[in-house]
Amino acid sequence: MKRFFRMSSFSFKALLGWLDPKLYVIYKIVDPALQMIFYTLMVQFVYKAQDITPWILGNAILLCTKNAVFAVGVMLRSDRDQGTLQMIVASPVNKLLVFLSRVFFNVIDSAFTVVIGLVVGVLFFGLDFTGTNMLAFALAIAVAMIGGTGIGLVLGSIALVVKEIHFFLNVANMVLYILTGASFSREKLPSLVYPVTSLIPITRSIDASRIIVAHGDLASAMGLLGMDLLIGIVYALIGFALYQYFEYKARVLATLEAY
Amino acid sequence: MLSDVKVVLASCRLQMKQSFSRSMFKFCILAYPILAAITFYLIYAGQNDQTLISYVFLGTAITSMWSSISFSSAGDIDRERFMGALEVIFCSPTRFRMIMFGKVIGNTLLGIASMFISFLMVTLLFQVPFTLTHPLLFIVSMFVGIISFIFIAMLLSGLLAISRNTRVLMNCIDYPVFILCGTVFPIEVLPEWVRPLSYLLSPTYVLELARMSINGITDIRLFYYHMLGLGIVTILYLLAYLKFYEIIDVKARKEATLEVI
Repeated sequence: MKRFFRMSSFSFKALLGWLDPKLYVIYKIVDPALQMIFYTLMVQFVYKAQDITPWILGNAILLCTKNAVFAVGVMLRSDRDQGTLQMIVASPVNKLLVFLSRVFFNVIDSAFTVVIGLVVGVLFFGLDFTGTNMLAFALAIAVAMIGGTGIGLVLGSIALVVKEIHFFLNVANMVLYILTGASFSREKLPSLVYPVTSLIPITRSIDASRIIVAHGDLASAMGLLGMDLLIGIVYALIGFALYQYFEYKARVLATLEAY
Repeated sequence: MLSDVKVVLASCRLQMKQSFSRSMFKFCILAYPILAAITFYLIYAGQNDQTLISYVFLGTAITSMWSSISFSSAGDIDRERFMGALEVIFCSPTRFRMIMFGKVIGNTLLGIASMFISFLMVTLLFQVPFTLTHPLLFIVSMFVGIISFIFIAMLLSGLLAISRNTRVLMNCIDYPVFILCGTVFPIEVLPEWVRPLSYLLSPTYVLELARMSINGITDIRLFYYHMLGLGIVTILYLLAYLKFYEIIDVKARKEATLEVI
C-alpha cells in the first residue's frame, strides 16, 4: 500500500512537472475557472431567464476531462518519451497495480478542479447548494472522476500507438464536451449520435448531480451513479487490456520505443 | 526593402510547411473550427439566423483564428529555442523580428483558412444562410482586424519569449481573451468594471464591427469609433512589440542567455 501511494505521488509530480506552484495555480485553478466562466456566461446569455443551475453543474463536473485527457491520457506516452516505459514493462510488479497507482492522484486532482468550478458557480453565478445532500453530491463528483479517469486510461493506451498525439487528445476533449451535454440538452444531438452519449461515463454523473441539487429522487440519482461507476470501471479495464495488448505487440515486434 | 520582403516570404513559406507537421496546429486549423462550431451551434440551437451568424459563426471564426495566430505565434520562439535554431536565426544578417514577422504572416494565412472552415460548417452543415447587411464594411473590418491580429501575435511572441513557462502560459491565454472580447456573447453580459479591459483587446473591436456589418448599423458614428479604437490599439501593439523585441535583443547580447532567457 505504501508503495502504491509512493508511486502515485511520484507519478503525479513527474507527469505535469508540478515543481513550480505558480504554474499549478495558473494551469489547475485559473484556467479551469476561466473555462467555467466562459461557458457559463454563454449559457446565461442564450438561456436568459431560465434556471442555468444544470448547465453550471455540467460545466463544473466536465472540468475533470482536462485531467482525464491531458494528464492521464499522456501518462504512458510520457513514460515512453522519458525512457521509463521499458523499465515498467520489464519490472516484475503487478502491472494493473502500477496502472492504477499512476492515476490515483489524478482522481483527487480532478475532484479539486471540479470544486474550483463549483466555487466559481457559487461566487459568480449564484449556484445554490441550500438543502443539498452534500454526501450524495460528493459521491456524484467521485463517480464522475472515476469515469473520467477510465476514459483517460483508454485514451492513454491508444495514445501509445497514435502518431498525432496532440490532435487526438484535443479532439477527444472536445468530443467529450459535446457528447456529455454539459451546456445543452443531449436531445439536441442528431438521433444517430444520441445513443453514443449513454456510453460515456461522466454523462450520468452530471445528470445525477443535477437531480441531487434539485432535491429530486435520490434513489434514481444513486441508480445513475451506480451505472456510471460500472461503466467507468469497464473503461479502466478496457484501457488496461489495450495497454497489455500494445505491450505484447511491442515485445513481439520490438517496437516499444518506436514513435 | 526588397530583401526584407524576400525574407518575410521565405520565413512565411517555411512556417506554413513546418506548421503542418505539428499535430497541435493541425488541430487548431482543421478540427477546432469544426468541433467548436458544433458545440456553439448546439448551445445556440433554436435562435434566429442573425444570432447564429453573430455568435456561432463569428465566435467560431474569431476563436479559431485567434488560437491559430496567437497560440502558434506565442510558441514560435520557444519552439525555435527547443530545436536549437534560435541562435542561428538570431545571428543571421537579417533582423530577427523580420523572420518572426514572416512566421506570424504564415500563421495568419492558415488562421484565415480556419475561418473559412468555420464559415463552411455553419452555412453548409447547419444550413444557416450567411446574410450581411453591409458586406463591404464587413470585409474592411475583417481585413483591419487581421492586421491587428498580426501585431498582437508579434507582441505575444515577444512577451512570452522572455518567460521560461511559455508552454503553460500559451495554453492559458485563450479563455481570458474569449471572455473579455465577447466572442460568443456580447460584452454587455460582463460586469461593468471588466469592460475597459475588453477595449484593450483588438478582437473586441473586430467582433463589434463585424456584428454591426451583419445586423445593420443604426449609428454610423459608433462604427467609426470602433474602427478608430481598433486602429489605436493596433498601433499600441506595434509599438509594444518593437519594444519587446528590443529588450530581447539587448538581453540576449548582454547576458548571453538567448537559449535560457
